[in-house]
Amino acid sequence: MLISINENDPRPLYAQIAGEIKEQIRDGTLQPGDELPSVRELADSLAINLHTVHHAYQQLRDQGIILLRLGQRARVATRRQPAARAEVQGKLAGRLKEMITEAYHLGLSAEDFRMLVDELLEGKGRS
Amino acid sequence: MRHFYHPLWTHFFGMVAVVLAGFMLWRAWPMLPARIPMQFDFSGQQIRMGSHWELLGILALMLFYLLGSIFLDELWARQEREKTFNWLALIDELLLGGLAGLLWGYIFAYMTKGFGQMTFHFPWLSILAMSGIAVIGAVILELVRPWNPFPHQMETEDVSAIRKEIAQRAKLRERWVHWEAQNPAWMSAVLIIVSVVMFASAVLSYKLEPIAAAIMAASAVLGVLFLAGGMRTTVTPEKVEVRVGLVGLRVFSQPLGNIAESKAHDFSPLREFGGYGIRWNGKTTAFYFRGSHGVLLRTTAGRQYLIGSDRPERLAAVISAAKGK
Repeated sequence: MLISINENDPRPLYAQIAGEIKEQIRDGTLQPGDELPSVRELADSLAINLHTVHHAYQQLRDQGIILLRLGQRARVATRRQPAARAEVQGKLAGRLKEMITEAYHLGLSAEDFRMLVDELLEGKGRS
Repeated sequence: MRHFYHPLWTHFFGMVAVVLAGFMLWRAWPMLPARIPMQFDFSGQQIRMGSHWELLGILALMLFYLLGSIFLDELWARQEREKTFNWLALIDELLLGGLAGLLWGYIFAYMTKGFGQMTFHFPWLSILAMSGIAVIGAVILELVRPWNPFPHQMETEDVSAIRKEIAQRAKLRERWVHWEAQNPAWMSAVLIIVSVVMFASAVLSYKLEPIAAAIMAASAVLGVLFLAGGMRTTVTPEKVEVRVGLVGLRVFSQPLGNIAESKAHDFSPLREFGGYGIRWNGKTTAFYFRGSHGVLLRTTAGRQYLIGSDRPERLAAVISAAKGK
């Protein structure tokens, strides 16, 4: 797996790490049961604080994306059953609306935005 | 398993030795007393009597050797890139022939002379005869054994996407790490079982042999800490690293600038390195815990390293992309 952090990214480092892991589970690079690096090894490789990686892992654990057990390496959890459509839509609609507004002010048309989403869903591009 | 790449008939003489030992035991069983001499000193005097059921232990040991040999020879055959003479395939015939000879010598000696207090002469002749015949037979069978190539070619992988990603991240001056692991559950299980047995033996023998017990206990703990937990390979914009064990002991670290060449490589763990783990064959230092694929690295100083990988083409591409090639 490939994890990167960018100091120019406005997101905090732990959110970047969590985002990278989520993305690699989505595109199939990481499969359920796959091992993840230990907190110490990942922090060492990225030259960041242990607590940052720990925070990212805790967030992923709380979301049910990875399994963290005492004395064992972190592993990718089995994918959850899809939640109710209305619940998912409720969670994502607000964030999507924000992104659509942001895209509009960056000069992207609705059609361009739709194409960008399609490209990303098909794994052709990277944000 | 669809079929054996090392045919089962190559174990014919080992199987005959087991059957022969079983037959001898079956014939002699009604005549064996309940208590028979089981251990002898160098002069041949018996020093321990035991139950006649203990003789079945020899038969069980023979079956264990036979099954172990079938497994190892199969593993060898699956790693062959061309027909080779597998000397390891003769070990089971040597051991099984020897044990059959020992059993035969024992039964013959006591059936003819009785089970009283008497000197037992180690049956070298029957051991040599039986193991000799079994080994000669095994050599012939190993020579005529056909070679069935195992389809072990590496799966080719499109690595253009990962190359592009690394290049993009380098351009954005991102800090990144590529990480992969080899951690077969069976290896950790074997290590833990062996370590527990060693530790228990150390505790039990502490009063009799304190120094040996301490060494054994320390080896057990170190074995678990440094070898259980598999190996992890990381590539960062600066270096390639390999760590092993629960504690993550760094066993290999090379700055990218020192790496002259990296390429996916197909190898034979048993034939080229004699097993798994951290290995050296006089030319290459290797780190792998499973499979027969890896990345061969050649340093600017002329040293050669092999890092085991389940996706060698991807790992090689990451290393070369990180170097900007």
